[in-house]
Amino acid sequence: MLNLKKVFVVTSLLASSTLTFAASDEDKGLQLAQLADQVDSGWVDQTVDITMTLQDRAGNQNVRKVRNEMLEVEGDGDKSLVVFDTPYDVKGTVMLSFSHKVGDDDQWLYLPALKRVKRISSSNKSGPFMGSDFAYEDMSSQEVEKYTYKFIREDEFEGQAVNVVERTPVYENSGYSKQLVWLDKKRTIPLQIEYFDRKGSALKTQHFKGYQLYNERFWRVDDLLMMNHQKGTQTTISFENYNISQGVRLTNFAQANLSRIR
Amino acid sequence: MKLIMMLLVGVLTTFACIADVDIRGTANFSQRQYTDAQPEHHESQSLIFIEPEIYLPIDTNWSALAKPYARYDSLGAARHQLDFRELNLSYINGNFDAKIGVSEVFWGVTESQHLVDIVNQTDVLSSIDGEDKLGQPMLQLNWLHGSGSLQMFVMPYFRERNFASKVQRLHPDVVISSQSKFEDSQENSHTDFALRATNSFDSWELAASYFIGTNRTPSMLLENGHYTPYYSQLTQYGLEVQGVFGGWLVKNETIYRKGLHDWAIAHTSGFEYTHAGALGQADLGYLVEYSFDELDENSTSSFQNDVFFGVRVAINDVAGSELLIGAIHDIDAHHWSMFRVEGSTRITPALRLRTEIWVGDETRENDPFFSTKKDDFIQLSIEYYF
Repeated sequence: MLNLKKVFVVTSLLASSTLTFAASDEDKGLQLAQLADQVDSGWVDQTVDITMTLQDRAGNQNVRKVRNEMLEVEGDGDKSLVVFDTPYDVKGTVMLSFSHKVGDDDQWLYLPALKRVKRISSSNKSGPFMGSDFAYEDMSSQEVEKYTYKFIREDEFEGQAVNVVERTPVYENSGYSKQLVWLDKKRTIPLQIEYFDRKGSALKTQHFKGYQLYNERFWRVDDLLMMNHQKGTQTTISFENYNISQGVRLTNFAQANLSRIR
Repeated sequence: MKLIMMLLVGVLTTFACIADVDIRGTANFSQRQYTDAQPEHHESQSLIFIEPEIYLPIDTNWSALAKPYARYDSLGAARHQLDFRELNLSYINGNFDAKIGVSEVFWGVTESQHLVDIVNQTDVLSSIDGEDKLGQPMLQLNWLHGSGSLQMFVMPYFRERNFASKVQRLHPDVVISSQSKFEDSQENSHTDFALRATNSFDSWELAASYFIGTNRTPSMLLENGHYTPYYSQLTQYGLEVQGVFGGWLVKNETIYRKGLHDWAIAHTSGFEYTHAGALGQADLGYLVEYSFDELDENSTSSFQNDVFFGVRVAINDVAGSELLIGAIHDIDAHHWSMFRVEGSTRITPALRLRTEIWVGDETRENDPFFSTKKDDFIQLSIEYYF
């Protein structure tokens, strides 16, 4: 589900040598995206506990808790399971997604009150996830093929050397005209993303806070903060209990398994 | 009622003392106001139900689940309900699982009618849409694979439909006898059997099912001024198809069955289109489903040649507000026979406010909904989740 997997330690030497031969800003942007994708492959599976805190303009807070389980799929988008724990009216609901590099994702919902597994349309990618400031497309598996890229500039962000890359969603019903990604030069991980709405106005800013290294290879973030500049709302996502490459069963991601999950 | 509640609380606390027990559930209070005055009928009705779910993991393979259900209905004791929706022991080992005890399953893909869904008896007193079910004693075996499953059900005991014994709101106008009749001499003890295979291929979800046993829906025999439910034996083949294409869902449920009448086909076919972000951040969904039944006037279903139209609004706000508006058009009678609105919004993380408006105007006398044509109501519910 979450887009924090594009992370790996790579020598800056490799990064800069690749970039030296880049012909255009488009090529350079694409190469940075491919690098970020490469350095975060091989994690195989991951489980994590997630707390979302929604805050409205007046400062009122609403908390949602979910558990996430992911499976890396070679050559395609990842598989993801989300089990909802709160709010209590959706407790026990499970969402299964098979994301794809191109085209719509496959999505199923298990509704415990009806004992029903329902195949649902995933075309509402621009819609808010559980009423938060994160859209479904912000949270789904970030594949290189989902955007076109353009290198903008080298810069500094909170003391770190970064590459700023512009990416434009390929998906026609995306809620965004473009995004600007601040990519840490040394670690090739995102530090900030600015989102622009379909009309091109600044819509949201996402901050990635507290990266930690897991399994000596994978950078994972502690907190995400998404601020909606147009609505004055913000959502924080906190991650706890990352477990990477622990051997999650493939059949956990079978449609018929959804009713067995608690 | 008090005793039942005390008993329930007792069981709950006992379970809560054991470690690792997961308890969750729902409690609901509903107030229903009927807009059609009828001389011998009440104009308001209060309903309270509680449905806790107690899950006890025993070891890595075994677990137990209890889901008692208790309902109080101000219209009378005959409408109270005490049931176990689930009370079973479950064994899971990799791709195989088995469940023994009382359980609940759902089959189907359409929204306006659930043709293939046959395993559980409908709790007709709980809600008018037939979505609430009574627990069914069964042995259930499942084999699952990457894209589907094979399911087998053996059901050694049959549950009759829970009619209230006297003439009431949302109930046939004739007294229904509690002495049901059965085609099979084993009556309630007839062992029913079912198989179902499901599979997903790319954009498609498919399921095929087979059922042989006692029909969940009785035929009504008119005897000495009252109805006697008659449960025939039924053989039913079912097919479920759903395709997903962007915002479009295409759906079909078909049954081919032989019960009281000879082999006959029935189907519900339609689509659902979701217009994401149609109203700001709100999504609009449009549903159209056509239902046909070859049994026509002999069918126990309300849908023989009818179209359901629905609009679903998902506000996508913090409160998760939703609205569903539906109407049924009877093509034969050129008549709108049903109109319904359901809405809900979250008021705290554990409380949801629900409202429902139901308007029935069935003109065909042998339709199951005919007797409810003067039972239009508006309902407000508050639902607590724990």
